[in-house]
Amino acid sequence: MPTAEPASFDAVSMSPDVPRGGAQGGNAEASQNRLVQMLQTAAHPATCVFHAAFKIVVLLIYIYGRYIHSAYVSTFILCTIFAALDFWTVKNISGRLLVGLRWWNLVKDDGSSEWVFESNPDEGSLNATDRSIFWGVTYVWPVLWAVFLFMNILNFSLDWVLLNIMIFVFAGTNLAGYWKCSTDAKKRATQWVQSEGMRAVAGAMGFA
Amino acid sequence: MAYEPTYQSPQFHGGDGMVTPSGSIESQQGRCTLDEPVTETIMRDLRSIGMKLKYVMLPRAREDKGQGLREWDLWGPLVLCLALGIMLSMHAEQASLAFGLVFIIVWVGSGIVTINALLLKGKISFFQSVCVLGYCIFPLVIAAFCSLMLNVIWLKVIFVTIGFTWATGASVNFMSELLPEDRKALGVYPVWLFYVAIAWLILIS
Repeated sequence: MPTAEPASFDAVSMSPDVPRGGAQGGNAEASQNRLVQMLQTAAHPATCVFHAAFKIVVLLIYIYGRYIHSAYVSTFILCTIFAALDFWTVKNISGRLLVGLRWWNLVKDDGSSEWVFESNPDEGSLNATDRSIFWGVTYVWPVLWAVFLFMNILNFSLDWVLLNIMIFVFAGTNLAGYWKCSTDAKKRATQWVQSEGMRAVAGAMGFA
Repeated sequence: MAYEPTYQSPQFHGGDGMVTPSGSIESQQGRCTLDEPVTETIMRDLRSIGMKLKYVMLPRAREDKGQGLREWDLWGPLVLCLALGIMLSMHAEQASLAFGLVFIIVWVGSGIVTINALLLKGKISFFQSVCVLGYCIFPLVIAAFCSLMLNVIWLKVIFVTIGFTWATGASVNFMSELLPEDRKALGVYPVWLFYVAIAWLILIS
């Protein structure tokens, strides 16, 4: 499996198939190729696809059912089913295969339970595409649903708030679980925040 | 959500200082879940759900106080809650209200009953209790299904009553086992109330 790091891969940009202006058809074609190329550098391309696929389905169903053709019960049911499938996939499959992390709840003989977080001491040697896709999607997903939740609270649409809360809980749980597992993710995230902060300060000083 | 058997692997160490376990993780079934094929993972979880559903329906649940539901997972309650919501909102005038109500009652209800038990100093794990309460809705879901098929009012009452007794019987034993002696009734009453609320929802739809 090729593990070469693609030169221009941005760890946080998560929508490579959005055309970036110019001729619609030509750019869509180009970004499709970019997507395929990116997947070819991944160690587990099918897992990467599934990691994002259920989430995309949930998003599409939600947007369709909420804004385009208002239908509460069927949207709720379908979104819940796919969000639950996505939760299970991320927790049991893509975390394990893409970044080698696991977390679960252990019930001991006396009935008490504890949470177990397994970390991977070897995280630097993971496939970069796998890691970027996993963490990028895992970070963006709860933020997206927090935004929807906030919008629906402002609208006082409490029935949609219920759905948003549920999907946010699914998303946040996975993020929290894997965050606790991964010392490497914490390090990279603090570095990213610091570098963004430095850039902001430099920019402010440069324009001051 | 699903419980996974642990594996002692030389490549990984557990925990990161903030969470208790580290180092020695006993392998409970000697299986490696790290590289297992995806179908294996799926079948393991499906079998676990099926086993728990069967367990709830057997009278054995009353004797051994719900031990079969010890390795909790929340899939069963989610599926049962969805099924109940669908069935009850099918003939309702305000379908979305009915569905949302079922959802809220099941999840918030089991949460409150569990918190009540915890506040009474019961030795209960939160998720395990929610799991038991959720799985024990199964008889009521069956009753709702039967009453949906046959629209005769007194048959509905009979089905729901049977379902209610079954559900309460299965879960009350579990709850009362884990509560201190003098507070059993205080802990068990909300469980009974919880199932009454669900049975009532089924009856009035």
